[in-house]
Amino acid sequence: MTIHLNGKPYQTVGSEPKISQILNELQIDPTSVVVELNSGIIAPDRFSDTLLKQDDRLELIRFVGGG
Amino acid sequence: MLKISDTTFGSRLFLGTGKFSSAGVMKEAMEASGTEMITVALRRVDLDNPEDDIMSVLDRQRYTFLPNTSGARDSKEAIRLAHLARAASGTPWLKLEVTPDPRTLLPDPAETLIATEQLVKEGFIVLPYMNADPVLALRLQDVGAAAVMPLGSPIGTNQGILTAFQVEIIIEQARVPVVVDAGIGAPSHAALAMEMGADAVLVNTAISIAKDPVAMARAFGQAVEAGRTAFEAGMGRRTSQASASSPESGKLENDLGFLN
Repeated sequence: MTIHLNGKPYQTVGSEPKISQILNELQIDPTSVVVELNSGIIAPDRFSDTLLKQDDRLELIRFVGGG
Repeated sequence: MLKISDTTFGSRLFLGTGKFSSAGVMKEAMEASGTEMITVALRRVDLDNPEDDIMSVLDRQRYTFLPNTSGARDSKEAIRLAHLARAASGTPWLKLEVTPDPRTLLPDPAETLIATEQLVKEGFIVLPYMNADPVLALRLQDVGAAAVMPLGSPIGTNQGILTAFQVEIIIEQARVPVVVDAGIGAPSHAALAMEMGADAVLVNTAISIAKDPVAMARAFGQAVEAGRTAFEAGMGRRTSQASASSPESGKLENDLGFLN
């Protein structure tokens, strides 16, 4: 199944994976990111029960150095 | 003490965290500067470096985090970034930046005003980055900005306070703190802003790209303190007429008569 991850096509391992599974696949600490799904922010306590669907737009955002 | 919203700050130097060569240098520079307020930006996670996380190296107890909305080109994008920033930081502090033109990075006044009004209503503590326009500063203050951040010169140019005339008017009129932001390239620029009565300055590039960022951070800390102390001490008025600093009376007569 393909989703759009940070603006690029991404092939998920299974079909309809949870957000927590994607973070795990990418080795990203869930507490270090903000997640936006189809332009809506997903609270961390929903990572493990939010299923992704074909063509979903998933954004993983975090703080970086900046002025 | 500087007070913004309900928070007081012992240091009047705010530090940006961009362009440091390493996390270690950045941390040391922050300590050397004495800052208590640091800015951060939001970006997509670099999927090739998933462990590269600035927040893991910063002390969240020690510093107030001021996330910015850099990259936003209009109020809609800025508001979206603000929501992400609040979700990521857990605090309502926000440096609002709306810069439609990547060449000048000058802030859009109309979009900045719209976004400030909206985000204040949503409970954000908004510090808008703005051109040094005294009328705009009052408008931003009226819609609830917690401070205003007029630019000294465009971001990253190191040109100093090219907007001194307008910044002076902003300082004179503002009821909220005035934080001079952008273009401050040397400690003397920061000292000048503070001597003019600015409540704080925000510095990033000048420190992070210095040959020795830690020493430069210390120099900026000293300059900000010196400038603030001079402002509080009360500076003499500028005049075009000379005025002797040595006494006019009691000069020697006769052979040293030329001293008259």
